[in-house]
Amino acid sequence: MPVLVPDGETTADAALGGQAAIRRGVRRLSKSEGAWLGVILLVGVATALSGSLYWAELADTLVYFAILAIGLNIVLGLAGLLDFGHVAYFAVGAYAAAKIMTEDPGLDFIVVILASVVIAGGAAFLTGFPVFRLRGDFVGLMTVAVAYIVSTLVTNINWLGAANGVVAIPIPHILGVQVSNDTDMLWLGLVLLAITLAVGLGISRIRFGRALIALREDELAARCVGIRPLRYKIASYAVAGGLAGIAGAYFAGLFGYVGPTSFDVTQSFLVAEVVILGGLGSMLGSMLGAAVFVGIESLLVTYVPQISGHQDLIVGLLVLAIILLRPQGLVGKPFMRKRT
Amino acid sequence: MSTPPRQPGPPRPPGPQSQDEPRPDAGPPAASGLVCTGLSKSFAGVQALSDVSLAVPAASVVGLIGPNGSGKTTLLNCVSGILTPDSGSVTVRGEHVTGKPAYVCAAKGIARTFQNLRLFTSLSVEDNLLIGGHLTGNLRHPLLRVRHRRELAAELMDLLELSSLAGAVAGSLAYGIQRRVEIARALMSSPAVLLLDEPAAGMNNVEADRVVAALRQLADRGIAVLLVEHNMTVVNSVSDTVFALDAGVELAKGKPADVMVDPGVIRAYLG
Repeated sequence: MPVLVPDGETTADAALGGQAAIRRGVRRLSKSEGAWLGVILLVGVATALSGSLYWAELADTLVYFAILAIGLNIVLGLAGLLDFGHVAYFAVGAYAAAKIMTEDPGLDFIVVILASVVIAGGAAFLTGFPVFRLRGDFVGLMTVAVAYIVSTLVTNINWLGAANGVVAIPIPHILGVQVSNDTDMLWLGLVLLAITLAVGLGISRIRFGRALIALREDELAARCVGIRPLRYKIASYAVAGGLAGIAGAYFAGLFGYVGPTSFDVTQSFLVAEVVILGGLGSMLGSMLGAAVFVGIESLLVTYVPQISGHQDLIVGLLVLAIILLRPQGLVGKPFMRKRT
Repeated sequence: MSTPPRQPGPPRPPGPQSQDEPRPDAGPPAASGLVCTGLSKSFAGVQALSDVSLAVPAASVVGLIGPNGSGKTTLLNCVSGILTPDSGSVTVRGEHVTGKPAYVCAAKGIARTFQNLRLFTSLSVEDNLLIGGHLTGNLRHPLLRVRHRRELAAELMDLLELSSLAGAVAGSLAYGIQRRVEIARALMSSPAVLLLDEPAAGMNNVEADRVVAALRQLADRGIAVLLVEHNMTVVNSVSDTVFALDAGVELAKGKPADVMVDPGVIRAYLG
């Protein structure tokens, strides 16, 4: 079969043969992605095994930031939708878990997490309808508005503890075993992170994820191949909300307290920074971005105390540098891999 | 766009309907293909389409020609659901799709390419095709659907000579190749009606001839192809019927040889 490619434009795949390229597909992780995944999980397990309280605390923070970032990456990275209100569903998940645990301390934490996922995902699903009736920048503005509304509600509703938040959340337990310290929570967090990562990687490689990417790339062309934009946008938003629910439940179980100050709108921008830092569309990038973000912040506070209070400035400059020098982020998008 | 010198087209591959056999004229009924009846569309007072009726029977290619601004792309946009016609109707396989959203038209069997390429440029050729197969497959089991899509993608890449480029990033390919990727993506939905907006633009004669051969094969498989094209060699060699538009009004229709010598078409378009 003749190939209509001018000299010099033939690809490496041409030598391999098209069928081989198809079999190989784009579904597998690249070597670099696999290496990053291995390193991150190894560090997490080593931290849990070390018994160091400092590193366990740091890793716990990293876990919920990474879960939030992976969820946001589905909306921001895959679907290309401006979402600056992700913290709203983090708050919904955290408050849902906090209230469930205080109302029924005997409930297994797995059930609590599942309930948080359903409630936060459901909230995102419902708010998705008005949000995605709009387009472009207005979507971003609407998501910020949603975050402000949630923040205002949790600050003023007495049933949710108003400004005091929900305090004295019971220690979570799973299958009768208490998850009582930071190291135990880290083990749980690693499992939750692995599940979240599997969801994120899975979505980016199936029909649903392809539809989101198509909408990001060219909505008109996507509509002409049969993709219903509103349906997919809302679905991605709901999935991201559900994953934020996991992070919220973990947060509530970890700290035993949830209050309005933890869910300030600015948190959404920090998570967006993490996503951009790691690479839009790259789930592993989100993990790496969270590690860099949390790591730099914590290390600056610990080892350069003079800079305490200004660490966000350093992280902001880092994100700026990444955008200018490496716009695809630290890892880059799997779908952006060029094989020519 | 300049019109290349006329030359005889490549021989057609054998099929159920060869050029020597009589072919249906572009006129209703064509319930198994595309039927547009009395389509009109205006933009801020400018009449882009005026009471245009056109039929593309299954297993045939209808060439749609006319000068720039004659309403060809507007017609395609009205058929594919991107625009809603002011009046008139569009049916595919006998089903009304008039004014339906583009994704509904796609589900009813309409696929299209664009005058200005609209590929998912950061994705591989194969991924572009797999997205094109979004609606493919009535198989109940999801894994079977995945397999069906992959097999169909491999078949179409073979047909359009893209197999060796399956993993290449679509946006990095030469313009003519991207045109073929867009055609392959449109075919992934196993459409009843294929709308092609200048598929041979940017191609050299050899590439255009190969597209002609591929289009003939597609029509012979039962697809109704509506072809907008300025390359008259391509139009003449692949079309069963040619429909000429000027200023949104039907100018002529009939067999390619007849339309090409129509005085109105020569005056308005061919010069």
